[in-house]
Amino acid sequence: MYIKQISVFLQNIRGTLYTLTEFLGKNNIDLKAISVADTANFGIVRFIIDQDKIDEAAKLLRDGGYSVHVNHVICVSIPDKPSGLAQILGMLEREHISVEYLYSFFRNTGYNAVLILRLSDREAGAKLFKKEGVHMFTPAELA
Amino acid sequence: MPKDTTNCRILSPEYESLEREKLESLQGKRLHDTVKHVYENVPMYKERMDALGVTPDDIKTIDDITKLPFTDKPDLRDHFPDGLFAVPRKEIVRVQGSSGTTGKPIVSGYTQNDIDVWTEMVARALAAAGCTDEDTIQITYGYGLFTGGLGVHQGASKLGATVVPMSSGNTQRQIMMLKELGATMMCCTPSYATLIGETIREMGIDPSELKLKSGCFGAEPWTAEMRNNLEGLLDFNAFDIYGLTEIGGPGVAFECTEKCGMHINEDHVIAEIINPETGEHMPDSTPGELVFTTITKTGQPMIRYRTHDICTITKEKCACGRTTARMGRITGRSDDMIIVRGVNVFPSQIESVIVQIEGVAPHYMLVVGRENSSDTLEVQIELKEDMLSDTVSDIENLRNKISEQIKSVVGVSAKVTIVPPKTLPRFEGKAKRVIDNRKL
Repeated sequence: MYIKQISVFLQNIRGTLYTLTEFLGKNNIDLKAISVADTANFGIVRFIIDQDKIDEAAKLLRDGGYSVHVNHVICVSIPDKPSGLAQILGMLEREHISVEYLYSFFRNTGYNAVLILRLSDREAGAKLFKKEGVHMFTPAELA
Repeated sequence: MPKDTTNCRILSPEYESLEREKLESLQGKRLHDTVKHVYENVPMYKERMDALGVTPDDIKTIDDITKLPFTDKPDLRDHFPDGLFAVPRKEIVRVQGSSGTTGKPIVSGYTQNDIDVWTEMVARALAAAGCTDEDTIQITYGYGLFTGGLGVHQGASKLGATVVPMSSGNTQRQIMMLKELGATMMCCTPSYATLIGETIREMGIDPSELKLKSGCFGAEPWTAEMRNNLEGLLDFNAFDIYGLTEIGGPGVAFECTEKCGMHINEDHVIAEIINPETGEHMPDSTPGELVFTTITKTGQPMIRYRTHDICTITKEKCACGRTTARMGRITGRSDDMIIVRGVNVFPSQIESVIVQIEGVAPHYMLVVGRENSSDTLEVQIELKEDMLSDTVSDIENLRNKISEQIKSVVGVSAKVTIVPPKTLPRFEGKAKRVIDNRKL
């Protein structure tokens, strides 16, 4: 029910993001979704890849000198239409669950968007989505 | 433009211009008295002298000083707070302090005699810069345990000047007071004076609207270029002044109008230049580590105290008429201390903060720079692998926590930069944790 996400800690220096993506490309790691959180002196790059390649990618990155953190996030499918996101956030709000960050990607334009969420309470969020009938991606679905 | 040096004078020619032979004989006598005093009253000195088989009677002239053991900052830390006091506590009338090497401050106790000696030393420096009872002096050094503010305050008061005890900070208010009260002199760190000068220019004020004629600037090393720049900004005479809490405070040495080295108040201190590796004396005008022995202080005399400041000393007579030895600008340190905005900072202090914080590795680098005439300190710290996170706030919180701790322990604000694990240099021998980008 949860999806594994890889985060890489980078210094906020020109070229570091490019070097990282080049490294991923060379090692044949395909990014399904990516988001960058930045501050004045460091950045955290988070991304989703084939779920059966997580361990392999994390090792490659570590061996390549990167600082890597792997954690679980929730991926849900939301309708690609006005209020699609608001509906999901409204559910969370009513249950007092906060969003720490989110990012999204499309698999096929015009259909559903995929929303990646880190919540203040992951288990409560997953329970809620299940109850409300929101589709949560399984690792297999993202392979 | 010629600077006004009308009132620049030798305050105590009976000492400052004493023939060197007589001066050295006086120093020898005072050295003997001081050594006897500490031998009888401070266990540390007695133990160390006994270990070397030296008694106060072996110390008769200044040449005998090499028989005595050195002292250093760790001695002050190990005997903190009052283990080196040479008189009963009731005779101590003041304590001043500065930062130590590990977070605990080092303090110095003063008897009334010591305050008087220190006051005389600062008064000589101010008189050399032209200070009289006609002057108004704005003191922009910090007041408190730091010797800058109170030291200059006392010296200026002795000369009968009108003192404006502003303490440091609040540049706009400093400038308003300089204008309104018409201070003729100003004393602070050279970098803060430069900031004031630049701000005055930015505000469109011409220095002729002020009455400033001179100032004594110290507590941090500065260059001839910085002096030229400062004198240009404020159209006045900027003099260098040197001192350290352990020896008394500002006024240990000061510049005259010749501006060719700082005159050491040799009737109160004996200065030596040693090879920091061997402890042996260096020839005249050869750079080495500056070592001071106080010879008139009674509260907490210091024998052969290693300043770790690197400079030269010359005993050639100065054109101003003073016969006292002159020390050159401080060109470096024989330890890893850095001075940031007038505050002594040791890498070990930063380390003592870092090792107590969970989530960071004990690897760090200090990068010192200068922006807009003010020193900047950046502390780069490695994150521990298990502290890596996918949220920015976790790392920002850690950064803020470290910043606050450094400010509270070291006394200066630092920009903390968290860097990925295993990215900072590792040292096999002596760690070089400081990168100083200031051009000193």
